[in-house]
Amino acid sequence: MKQARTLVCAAALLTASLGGAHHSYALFDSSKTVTISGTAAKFDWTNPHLFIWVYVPDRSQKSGYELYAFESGSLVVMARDGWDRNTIRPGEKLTVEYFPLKDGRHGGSLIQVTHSDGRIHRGDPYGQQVIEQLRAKALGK
Amino acid sequence: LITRLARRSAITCALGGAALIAAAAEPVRSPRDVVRHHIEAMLAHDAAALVDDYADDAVMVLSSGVFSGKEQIRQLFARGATRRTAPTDDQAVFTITRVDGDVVIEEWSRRAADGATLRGTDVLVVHAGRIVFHATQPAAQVPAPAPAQR
Repeated sequence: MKQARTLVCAAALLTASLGGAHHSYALFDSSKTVTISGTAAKFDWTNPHLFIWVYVPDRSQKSGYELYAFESGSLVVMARDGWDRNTIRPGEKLTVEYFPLKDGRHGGSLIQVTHSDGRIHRGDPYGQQVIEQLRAKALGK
Repeated sequence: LITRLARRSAITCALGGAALIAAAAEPVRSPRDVVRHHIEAMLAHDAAALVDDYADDAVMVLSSGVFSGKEQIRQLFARGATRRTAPTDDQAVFTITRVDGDVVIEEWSRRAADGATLRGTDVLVVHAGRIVFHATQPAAQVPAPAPAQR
């Protein structure tokens, strides 16, 4: 829970720090990806970046859950890729792949979200480019 | 001495038993019961009862920000978070739509003073009879009908 508190403060700072700028990836470790599954708590369809909040089961926590926050591109950019304010429904089960925050807090930059019915929504184009480069590197191209 | 020790042991056992019985008489509320109580408190404009439903280290995620700890949540309600059920709001409806283990999904709608309908979904995590996480997702607002349609 303490970590959740730290995370939410970080998310608030993150949002504020990016408010007047283009999407910065300096806070994220784009050399690796992490995947988690949980329940969508909230979807902020807001500029400058959309935010997804997810409750993730975590037995190490007293409450049994940890709160994760993920960000992606601006609404214009995301709408071009088929996102809208109803893409994520609160309470739905999600699997999220992301570039983690460098400082180890829970959350990061969204690569893609998979809904329980198998639909996939991808994160912003820059993240997709990075993930393509990582895959190519892994394949030795 | 033996009699005195035996008497003291008996008293200790009796007190312990009474404590156990008292504990048993107050079972931990289920996630559904906690949220049901929360809705009742909301409708009753009972801020103290609302705050009491949260764990000491609860986290609340609203569109206006993130609030951590019972004290911040108390201040939030004191500042008027209960306006959702303001006296003009005589058509507030709160419905628990799903309970999945500790996660409870609640949908709500209310009529604003200007006649617009507000809807939203809350997703809460309840642990040991207290709300530990609470996120509120407002949906699009339905404007008030034009006067001719009323």
